[in-house]
Amino acid sequence: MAVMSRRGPAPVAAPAPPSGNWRLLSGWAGSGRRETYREHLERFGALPLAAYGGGAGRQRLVDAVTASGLRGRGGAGFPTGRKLAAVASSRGRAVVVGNGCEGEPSSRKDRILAEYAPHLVVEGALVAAHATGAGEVYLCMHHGAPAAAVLAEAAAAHQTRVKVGVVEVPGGFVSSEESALVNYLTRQDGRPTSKPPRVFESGVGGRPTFVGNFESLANLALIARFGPAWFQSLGTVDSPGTALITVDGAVRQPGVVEVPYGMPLAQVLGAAGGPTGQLQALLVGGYAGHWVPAGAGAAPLSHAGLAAVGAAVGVGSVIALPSAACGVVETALVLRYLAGESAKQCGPCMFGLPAIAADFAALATGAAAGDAQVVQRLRRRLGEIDGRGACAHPDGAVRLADSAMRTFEADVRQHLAGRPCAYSGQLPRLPLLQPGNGVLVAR
Amino acid sequence: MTTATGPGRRTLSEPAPWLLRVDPILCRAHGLCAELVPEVVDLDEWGYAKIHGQVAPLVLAEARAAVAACPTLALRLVRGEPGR
Repeated sequence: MAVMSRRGPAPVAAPAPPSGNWRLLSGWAGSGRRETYREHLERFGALPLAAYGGGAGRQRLVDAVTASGLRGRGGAGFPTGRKLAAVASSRGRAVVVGNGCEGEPSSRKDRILAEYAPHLVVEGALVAAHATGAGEVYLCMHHGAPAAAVLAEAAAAHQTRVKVGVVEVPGGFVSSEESALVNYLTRQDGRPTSKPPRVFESGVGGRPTFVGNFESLANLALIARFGPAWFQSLGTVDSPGTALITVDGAVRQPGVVEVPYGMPLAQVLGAAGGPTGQLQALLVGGYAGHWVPAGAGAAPLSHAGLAAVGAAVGVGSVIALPSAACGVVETALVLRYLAGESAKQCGPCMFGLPAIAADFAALATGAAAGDAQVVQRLRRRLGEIDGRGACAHPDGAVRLADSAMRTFEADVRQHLAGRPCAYSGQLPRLPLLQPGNGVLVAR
Repeated sequence: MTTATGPGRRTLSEPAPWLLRVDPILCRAHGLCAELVPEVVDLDEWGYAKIHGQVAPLVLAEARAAVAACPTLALRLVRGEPGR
């Protein structure tokens, strides 16, 4: 019954959606390399933006994203559909910003995505631009990121009226924060700004701005094609779909894996080759995340599952700390790093983070032995600093320190009593500040 | 936004309470606010303003004075729900 249209070539049958656990990285999983634009189109089919034409079509697109339950990767897991709707309904021509900065040293997923699935990232930005009526897209990576060139080349292959630019922004932990990105794109100042206003009301150049992590964008490209029901066929009710997780530390094959939300933490470690030995704790959600005891391995990696063990998805990294390591020392080092990464704009962050880091260092080295006030002072300062920065940077350091004091409570007591553990003098085990090697885990 | 939403939803005839908000980037720890409205502002160990609770009608004038006195214009008086 199909009549060939005279207006163009017959449509190619749409390929089936990815069926396994690998979705965003299915191109890499299938061919072991970055696929060309043509191969990408053969794998996923064309981006069906024409099917969402006009105001009603745009609304359908936003509704599909809302129905999918996709949540952002900004740490709190804000629903992407609601964000799109907020930007679309704000006054003024919208702007789309793709955030692939990944200032967090424990995460490599966005670099991997840009390098191995650049077309999904570009298409996702075009989906967001279509849904919000934006005419320009800025895909941001840290200065010098090798994948930036890959992404720029990929972007050039897409025919669109939307202006797509790849922007290299200054490195640094806090310059990945969304208001810092917007500030850089507007005023070349890569430091966070105070809220309000939120970027969805007043972002780049004062215009409503959708800021989405590369992974969220790539998911948009799949949801626009395959719909919300397919998207929810993996994952949990509160965290549908898959997550790109950087697994590092004491595992056999450190790297980035794609797993369905809801997979127990222990199984996530298994996807990275499993632990190299006995573990004592996991650092979940990055350097601004939470320590949990190794016994929490049964907890599902989802927003609700991790909340139940006092953790959060955060940047989506899981670092395994072996038994033969000192959690107090590792935490002290990360806190020192975080203190150094403060933009030094807000007093509680500028002064509070170095103060916390110094107390933790004193605990770690044994300098605080016999000083019972150290723990009291730490606790007081953690409560005092939390929530008092223009961005969430101080809150992240507070989370890390607070979870360390709980998870390594016995260790902390030993250090205080002048009996630091046998591993205190060793080199740190966390991949602190080591540039990511971008190794992917074999299937 | 000045309308109250969320758990503390109010009727139109009952506006949200007054709050002091400090812009943490602008605050330079001059500390005048804590002198003028200690009921709402105290200072952390480094001298930066910490806001606690809402501005009771009784100290509204003092809160206004604190907003006006802040050398870095870091304080604002808004209607809203207490929280972060």
